Amino acid sequence: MKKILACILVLTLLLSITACQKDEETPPVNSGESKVGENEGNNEGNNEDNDEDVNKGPSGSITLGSTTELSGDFFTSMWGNNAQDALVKDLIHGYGTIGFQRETAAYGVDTTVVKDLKAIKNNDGTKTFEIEINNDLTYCDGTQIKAKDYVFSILFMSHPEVADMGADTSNYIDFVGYDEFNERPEDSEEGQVSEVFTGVRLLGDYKFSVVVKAEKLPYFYDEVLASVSPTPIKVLAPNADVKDEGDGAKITGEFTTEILEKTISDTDTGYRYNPKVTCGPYMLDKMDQTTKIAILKANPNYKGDYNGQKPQIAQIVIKKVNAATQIDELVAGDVDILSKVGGKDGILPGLDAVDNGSIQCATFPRCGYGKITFICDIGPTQFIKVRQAIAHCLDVPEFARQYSGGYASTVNGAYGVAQWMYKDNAAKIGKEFNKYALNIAKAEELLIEDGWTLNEKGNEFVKGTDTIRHKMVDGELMPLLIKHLATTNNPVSDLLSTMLPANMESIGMSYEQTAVEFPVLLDNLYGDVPERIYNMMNLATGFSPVYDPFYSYNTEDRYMGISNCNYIRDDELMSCAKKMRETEPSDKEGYSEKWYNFQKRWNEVLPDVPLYSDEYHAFFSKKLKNYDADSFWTFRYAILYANVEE
Amino acid sequence: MSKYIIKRLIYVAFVFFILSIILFGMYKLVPGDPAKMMVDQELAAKDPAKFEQAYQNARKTLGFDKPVYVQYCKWMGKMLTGNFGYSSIYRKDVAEVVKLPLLNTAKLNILNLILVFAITIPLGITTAIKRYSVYDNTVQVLTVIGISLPSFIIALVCIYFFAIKTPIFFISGMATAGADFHGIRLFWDKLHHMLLPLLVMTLFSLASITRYVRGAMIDVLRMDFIRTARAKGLREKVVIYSHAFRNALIPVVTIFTWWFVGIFGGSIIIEQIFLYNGMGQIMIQSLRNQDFALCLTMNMFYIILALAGNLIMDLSYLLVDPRVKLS
Repeated sequence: MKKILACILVLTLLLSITACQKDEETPPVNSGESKVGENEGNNEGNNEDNDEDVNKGPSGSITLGSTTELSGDFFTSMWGNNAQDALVKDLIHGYGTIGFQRETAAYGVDTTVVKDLKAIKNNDGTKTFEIEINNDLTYCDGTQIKAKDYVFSILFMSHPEVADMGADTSNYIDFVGYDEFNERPEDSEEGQVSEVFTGVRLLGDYKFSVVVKAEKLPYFYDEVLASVSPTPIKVLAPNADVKDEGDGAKITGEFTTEILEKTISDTDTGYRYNPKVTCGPYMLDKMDQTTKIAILKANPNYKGDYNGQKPQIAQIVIKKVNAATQIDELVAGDVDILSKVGGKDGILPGLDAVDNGSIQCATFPRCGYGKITFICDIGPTQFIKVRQAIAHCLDVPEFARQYSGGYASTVNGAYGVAQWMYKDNAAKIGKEFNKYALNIAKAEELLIEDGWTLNEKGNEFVKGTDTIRHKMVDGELMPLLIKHLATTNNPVSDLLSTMLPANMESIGMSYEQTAVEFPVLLDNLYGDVPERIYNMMNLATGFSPVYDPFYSYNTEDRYMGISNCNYIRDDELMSCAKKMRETEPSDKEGYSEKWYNFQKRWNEVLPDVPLYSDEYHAFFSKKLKNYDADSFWTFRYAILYANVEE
Repeated sequence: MSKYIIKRLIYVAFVFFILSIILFGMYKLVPGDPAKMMVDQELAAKDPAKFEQAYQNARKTLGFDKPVYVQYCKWMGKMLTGNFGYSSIYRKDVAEVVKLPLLNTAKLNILNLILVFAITIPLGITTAIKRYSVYDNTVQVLTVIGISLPSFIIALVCIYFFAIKTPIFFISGMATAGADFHGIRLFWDKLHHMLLPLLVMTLFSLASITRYVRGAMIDVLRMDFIRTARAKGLREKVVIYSHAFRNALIPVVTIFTWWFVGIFGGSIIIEQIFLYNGMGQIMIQSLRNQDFALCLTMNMFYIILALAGNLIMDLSYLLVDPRVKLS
């Protein structure tokens, strides 16, 4: 018996050792093997040594690590927009009429796609964008892309049959005729009010037009509204067609939820999970739902981005990493790039590895900030001076240093330092904006000025004797009690509860923190609770190149909580935001000036206290060359200009 | 016997419905709006009209536009026909969401179960026989340490030593990213990735079960019939394995059954640390994101498992101890 046991043990040990040996010949599989297509793109920025490789076409493979897991939903954002799924979507879908352009840091017409774009102002206040696409665009399978594919995209994304599949069909709500096309009568199960989308016209094989509603105009970013990408009608609805008989575009033939469920929602073959006919720089090779790893291959038929740039890396693998071990994975070679690392717990180990010479890094500022959001219609925080006093109770630069390990800056308005408007106005902002530095005396002065001079009995507040200041509001004593709703397991919440209370209490404010899960915080923020009681919350925000804060500071009741999460009713602030959006698109200077006025007012009324604006780090292996990303020029764009040197 | 089983099945159905009502009610009382979680929050700042439209669509998709009792009846009706609802975070049917993680978790836990019982039963028996010896004391000390250490500490220590300092295992993941393996190579690659979490899970479980088996054996070894067996001159191996261990099996069957029931549960900590796509991860994500259809389905699944486990356990007692009578 002993011998048998011993034999089994030895065998088990041998098997384990064999299994545990890390395979030295482990991939990267296919690296260097893929030689797909010719690269005729603009390769500015690549050194001459690379030219030979570049001409051979894309080669090599990189693995992108992300702390967000892929879910494998790769069609549109209509069924949700997980950040990693969104990245895959951006890489595999393409040929949008309007795209982000690095040189201007703004969206513009993509001339690789669009032959001609005419913007026509109509007498009824609407605006027509007439778009002619180039006739040499193809999907990755070689099928030609025509205007029908663009028009189908709009019709599909607005169709009630698609809404029945749980999709958000509001993308083209700004086009004339959307409401009639999208809404169906209450008593009807099928069909819609109008089969025709009147604001969308199919004008030829390569020409179509869209009409933007008058109430949406004028709009500084109106060109962005004309942004459409193609969707392969033959894949999604094989027996359907797009027609225009003069009164607008419509879908004809078989287009029912049953058919779409098969072509779109089937988890093995549906376009949501397995989009094989796409037209971006990359195409989906494989998504392993078991391991949650996606493999993308360079699209041989891709014509290039707006500069004509084609991918130089043959394969991109996307996998999830743990925040705690992501740098170890990078050093171990399990991943090749971590594109956006923030916070000291991620940055410091990364920089250690950079110092060791095992990886390289690049930094760029975040276009957004972490903040204390004030609820401006409840209790003491409804008063501007109280908000200002709280800001003076916090040493924001020290907070940013402690939170980020020194890798964050501070801002004094609702902007990111990467925005062109900030760059234009930085000097003036530096001189003229209130910095709300730590100043307890100033904070106390503001409270006294604002009338917080009473104690709980209504007598004069005596410092050292009384603890909480009160103010007579609408005939009743209001205590200066600040209720802070924070999120659990959040270093920002913890740091605030360390740095704020003592300073606030020293001048007669009472601070009370309640920690909840993030969705509960959001419910309170959006007002989805029986009674809103919290005065401030900590969270973060980011800005896209389309900066339009009009709804965020709109004073109308219907926007409170939905988009105006500060519940701030400041007509001047809203007016400043309105003036910004209503600037003519060509008047960049005017927009910049209005942006400054908006920020100045924001800095006075202080709906938020911006706490930190991260300095993001991209860490990557030494084999990745020419990777140059920033907060707007993200991985999806920058990776086309990068290459791999094994 | 069959009468007993039918009675128990009726009881299972009754408890199932009562618990389903309680759970459904509890999830409805939880603060938060899953429909809002389905909508891109940035849309609210960009275009409130679009946001509202998307929100209403999400409510309709989730069936929140109906009264609560209608929602319950619809949910239960669908559940009984195998339609487990629509996941608000994964945007697909719950059955599709849980299929793969369930399989992954089962694979990992079955291997863990085999390893743990293969190690702990002999270890528990030998320590019970050699009670208070150096061997027993050493195992006791190690098991106390094992019980005291949380699984994430064991995981991090193992990652440090076996994946970073001596890279024989992978830090995380379930397969080599980007690899195009097939056949036996693919099998080894997946197994290789599974070994470190398996090692951690096994180490974490060894201590408690070893002590459990040891305790059960010690109790049995004190019994009169063991003394009688020895007095009759039976060989020690026969006394231990044929007489003592069989009697110590009843408590072991209890933990084995519960463990078996738990193989579909998944470990939130282990799966999070090793990025293992299993039920633990799904559970925590669904709770964090208020994906109630998914949470409810998983909870109901665990309830059925627990009730079935109870029944199986009672029936197992019959197999290991003929003295047990069902009533």
